[in-house]
Amino acid sequence: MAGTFASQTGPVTQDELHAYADDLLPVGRIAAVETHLRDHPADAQRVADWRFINAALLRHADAAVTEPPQFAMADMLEPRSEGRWRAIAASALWLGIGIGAGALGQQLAFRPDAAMRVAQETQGAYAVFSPEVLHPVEVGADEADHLSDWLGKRLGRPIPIPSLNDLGFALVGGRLMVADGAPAAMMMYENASGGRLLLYVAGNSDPDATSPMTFRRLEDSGIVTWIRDGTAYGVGGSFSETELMPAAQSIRAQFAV
Amino acid sequence: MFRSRERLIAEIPHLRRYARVLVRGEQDADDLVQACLERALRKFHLWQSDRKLRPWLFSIMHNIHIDRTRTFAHRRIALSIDDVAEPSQMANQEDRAEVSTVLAAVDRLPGDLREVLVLVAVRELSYAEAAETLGIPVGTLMSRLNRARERLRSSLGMEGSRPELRQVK
Repeated sequence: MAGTFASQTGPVTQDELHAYADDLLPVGRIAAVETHLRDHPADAQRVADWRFINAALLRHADAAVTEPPQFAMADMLEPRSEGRWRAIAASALWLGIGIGAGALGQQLAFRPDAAMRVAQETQGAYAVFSPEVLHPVEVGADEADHLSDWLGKRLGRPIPIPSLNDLGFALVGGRLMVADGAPAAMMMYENASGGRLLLYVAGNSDPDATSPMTFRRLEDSGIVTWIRDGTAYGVGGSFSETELMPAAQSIRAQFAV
Repeated sequence: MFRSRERLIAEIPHLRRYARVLVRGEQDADDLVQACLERALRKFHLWQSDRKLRPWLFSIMHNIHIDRTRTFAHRRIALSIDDVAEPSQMANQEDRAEVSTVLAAVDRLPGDLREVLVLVAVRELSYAEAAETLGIPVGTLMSRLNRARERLRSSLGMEGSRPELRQVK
């Protein structure tokens, strides 16, 4: 990896364009790549095409974790089933009967991965709070500093309030939420035409958890999620991938400082 | 051992995502996951705990897939669109058509380009881990990734004139 991605300055490489499309680019190089893409429309088009291809494959792959498995895969991992004969017997049983897994196995096999859970939490928060006229937030934008302190204290990590003014989104405010029985943060933004964008932040139980930026469509919302150093982020709204991604990248960069 | 079992179970959704882009058809994909888990259980003592579990599991699945592809080479006939599993939660027909078109083009790639593209596309691994999974240097991975993507742009009609495909979005 060293050669192609080590440099923090200098011209943008083709590998970095791929890394940008895959959201694997180090945060420190995002600005350089985006400047390059503005100046080189042909490269910008290539990256957009790559992302389009990625999105199709991703949607196909994501369907796998929300659909029931064709058999109980976790079943063979239950304590007594480690022998090979047992695994074979289990699979034969499954192929023969089709359904009816041990409740535990079924549950575990169904369990969406962490990134999908964040996407679902973000979508849920968006669905509940974005239509709210009277009380969309608990603490308004005029008390942004207080909001940052308060949420940071409750989540036990620094929670800056990202600015999205450059992208045409003004902060409405934020609130404390509950996710998996633990505190989570929500911030709401609004553009000139009243379109709302929601940022959801939650601590993850595994401090080493990390997951690249991923766009999904859930219900009618677009959601971008990523997990970094045990903190999970979701950015959602009724927007397309091309509208949401710059906001998500800006937020990621502002949290990385 | 209990801990390792928990860790394997936690990897199942990730293995299912990878399997779904490796093979077509939900049943074949889940069969592949099961075969991978069986082999992983048998070989678990060989896994060095300083290595990350996911690239190790993915390389097992990749190897099983390669073995099967060789063994059943005569069965590798082109799938019709109807055979491509259509996930029920894909919102609309446009989405389905889009995904089918891209999957069909991906399946026409040469094997060494296809395996790199789909592994990167599921976004489970870093480039270094993906290269480790496939047993190739990172430089090779990146050049194959570039060739795969440029071929797809060409076969999907994305080069030159504004493609119809993109207007679906």
